Amino acid sequence: MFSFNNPGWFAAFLAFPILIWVRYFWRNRGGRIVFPFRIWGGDGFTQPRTWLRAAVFLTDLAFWAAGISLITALAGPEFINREEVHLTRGIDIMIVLDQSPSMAARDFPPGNRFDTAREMIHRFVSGRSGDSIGLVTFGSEAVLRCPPTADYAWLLDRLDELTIRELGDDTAVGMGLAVAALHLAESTAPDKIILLLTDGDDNAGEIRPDTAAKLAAERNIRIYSIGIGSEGENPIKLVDPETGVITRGTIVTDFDEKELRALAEVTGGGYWRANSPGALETVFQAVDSLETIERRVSVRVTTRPMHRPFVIAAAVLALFSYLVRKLIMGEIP
Amino acid sequence: MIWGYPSTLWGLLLVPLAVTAALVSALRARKKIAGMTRGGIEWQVRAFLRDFSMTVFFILSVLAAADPKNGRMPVTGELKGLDVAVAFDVSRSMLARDLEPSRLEKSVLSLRQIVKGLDNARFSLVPFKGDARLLVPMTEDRVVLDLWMERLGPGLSTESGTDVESALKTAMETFPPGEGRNRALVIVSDGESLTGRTDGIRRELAESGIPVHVLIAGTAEGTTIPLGDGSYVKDSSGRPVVSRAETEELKRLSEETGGSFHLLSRPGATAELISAIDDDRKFSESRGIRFIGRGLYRTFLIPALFFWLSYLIARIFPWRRT
Repeated sequence: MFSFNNPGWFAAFLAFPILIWVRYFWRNRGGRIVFPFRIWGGDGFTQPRTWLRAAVFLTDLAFWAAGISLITALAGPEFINREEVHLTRGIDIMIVLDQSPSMAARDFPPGNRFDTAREMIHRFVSGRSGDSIGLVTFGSEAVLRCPPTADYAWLLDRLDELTIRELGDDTAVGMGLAVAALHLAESTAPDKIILLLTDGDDNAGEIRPDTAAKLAAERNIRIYSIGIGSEGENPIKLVDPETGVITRGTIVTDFDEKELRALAEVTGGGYWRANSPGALETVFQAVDSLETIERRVSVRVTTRPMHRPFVIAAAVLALFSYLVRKLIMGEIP
Repeated sequence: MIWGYPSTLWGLLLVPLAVTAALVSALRARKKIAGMTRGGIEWQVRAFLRDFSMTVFFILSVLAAADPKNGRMPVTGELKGLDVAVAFDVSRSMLARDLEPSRLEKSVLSLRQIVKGLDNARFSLVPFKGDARLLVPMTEDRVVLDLWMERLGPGLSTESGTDVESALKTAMETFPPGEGRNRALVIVSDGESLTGRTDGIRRELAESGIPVHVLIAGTAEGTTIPLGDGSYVKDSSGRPVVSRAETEELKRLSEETGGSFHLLSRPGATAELISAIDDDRKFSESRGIRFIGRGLYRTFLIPALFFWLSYLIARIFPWRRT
């Protein structure tokens, strides 16, 4: 929004009509030559219609425009930006995403489980504000991709870089949960949650999921687990992240729902099964609505001063008027 | 006094042009109206007043356009918590050992103290050299910060140089939007051979109320830069390069943004930096006030308006009754 921080200066424009009258119409003004005519039948003295007349008009205009610019600058023009800001500390969310080969199963048309999960995470993150969200992925091992941050753009960039199988062919659910719990442990957020998305049983890593869940529970971290995938045999298309070789086949999804449910229960979280893109979206909406806190919002006002262009315009216009009159028009004081 | 747009002051080079115009005009006038004025001096007085008024008006306008600033002024706005963006110099000159054990290691140690000293603050980490990149986004996660602080060094980038402009821009972008928290930017560098223009980003930081706190790693005497294999960085003539800490540019940056300036070679520098940031935060949280740079352009512009008027009045005034 454009505004002025000291609009009282515009009152100076009230003097302009007087100045203009005195400058151009006052009988006793200086710089006039008075001829004492007695009898005169000829024409009056007028400026010839030449470039000189145009130059006089132009330089006068520049001079007055300089004055207008000067007063406008004194009125303090500025752009005001009002930004709604959160004063309340939001919650911390760590998304733990399965990157194992089975996530390439194509039972979530038009894409596979991994791409659908990624798209849902995009929507989920974009719908949050004021929360810190992080990302851990796991295959044969678990890796922190992004610490809990409110810089969602950076988080989503890291999410988009992921490819299936880059962390190996196994499913270290326990390691994924443990890494997430480690990075949430010292958070001062009022609520801390882990959002686990997996389609398989834990079969790798040195930490069992139930041990990781206990660690999380001790640190007041809730786990929401989401089992992805439809039952039965599903087509799969795998791309080797190193060689680019494509492998096609079928896969039977099998994961221990009881274990995922137990992980959630021991930490006071929840468990959902998502066997279609629509179901997964519903699950994310459910998590989104569950994890809300009362927020205090304030408005941060930032201003960008805009006086400088007016000051420059005033200086340039006045100098232009002065130099043209002095050097080109040969004005005599 | 600090100038927001110091390059605008080059406009003062036009003043001799205005003075020349005045002199040329006066000489012409003397010839033209010598026979008309019967030796009167009123036209000379008028000419002097008008030329003087226009020259002073122009000088004052240029000074106002250079956006002078002095001190800081309070603005209200409730803010809670603290976000600190850290721009960390990982150029090769940081390997110099004029600080024990080296500029780099001492700086990392100092950064650890800052992270520890500002509890509940969130940090982002931007190492910079010939370019700058975000290594850790704004986070409270001390584990990941510790991990990356251990790895800070010239090996993080292959680009040579010390692009401070890119570092400041990248660090400034790490403050997440929509967060009602106090903000501070810490730059850790030896200040040597800085590249990039900082005028624009400096103004942006000052207008956004983000103070830049500077920690200079190195000494004015300087020393050679070891390469790790017993040899030293050499110049084109084969002589060892002596790297010296340079303070001027970064000191100006801290002054213009209302931050603080510290020499790591002095004892207690890190504690002073922590205290400077924390005091700002406490003041802001307890009073609901933060500070931004105070512009002084009106101090020059009001007299400029006076001289614009006097230029006009010198013409209008009836110097001789007719």
